[in-house]
Amino acid sequence: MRKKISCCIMMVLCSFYAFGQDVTGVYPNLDIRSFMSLNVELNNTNTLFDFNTVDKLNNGITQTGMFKVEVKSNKNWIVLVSSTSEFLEPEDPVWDDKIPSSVFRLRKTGLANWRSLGTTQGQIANGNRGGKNRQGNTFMVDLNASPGLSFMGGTYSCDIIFTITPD
Amino acid sequence: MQDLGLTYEKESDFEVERTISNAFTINLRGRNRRFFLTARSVATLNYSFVRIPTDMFYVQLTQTNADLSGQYYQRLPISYVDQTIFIFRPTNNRNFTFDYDLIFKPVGFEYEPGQYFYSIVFTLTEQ
Repeated sequence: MRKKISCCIMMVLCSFYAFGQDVTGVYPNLDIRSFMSLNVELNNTNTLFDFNTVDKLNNGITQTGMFKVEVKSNKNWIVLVSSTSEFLEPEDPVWDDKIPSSVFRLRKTGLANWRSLGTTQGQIANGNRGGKNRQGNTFMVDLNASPGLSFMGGTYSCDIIFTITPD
Repeated sequence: MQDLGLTYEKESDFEVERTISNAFTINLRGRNRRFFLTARSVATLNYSFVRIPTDMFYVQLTQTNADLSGQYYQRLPISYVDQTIFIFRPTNNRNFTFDYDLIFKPVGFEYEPGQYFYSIVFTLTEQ
């Protein structure tokens, strides 16, 4: 019995001697600021809506997937659309009809409901934080123009503004 | 030791790997015994509701006056489990220095804005 105890004590002392340890550290940190970016590309470069038949004037023209939108955001986001002016801009001042920008409507491709264009921002899509490869952060937008028969013939144009904001 | 903080503001800050050159130096004094150096990362403070994984760092040896084999000059991933940084047996009793770059993996856009603090804990064992 006395022999066993002395062996144990020897082993403990040896271990201590063989495995001296020291611990130290460095302290990295990340300061992540809010970030949102929106990239809108014309997927269909033909931006002319040519109303050359009564049928087109009555029913409107839809360009499916006209815009490709890519979002990178570290906050949940909303994409809004608006126009810079309440009315379309005639190419020639002689066409003085006031065509409201609401003759244009937009929607996220695949959804049913259209959002009429106006100077007030209207939501067309939302999503979660993530890069452009996150599901829902890259999407297409359809554009529809339905002026009807009430306006004088001519060439009119309009700016469409895409805005991203935190949800 | 220099500041080991990075600010993420521009798009490229989030998307590319970022390096702090000569981020830290490890000093050893040889005693004719083998040294084992290991490292692991720990998330210490977090002013956010989400956590960034702790395996977002690499360290890379850039310069040393010790005779180390080439494998220890490769970038080494750091995670919450102790990783071997080097095993070294000095042949004389002198000071050895090891200079390291600290590499941050791209954080992407999955993590909410906030401040994230880490410790990289080095454990030196003599044998």
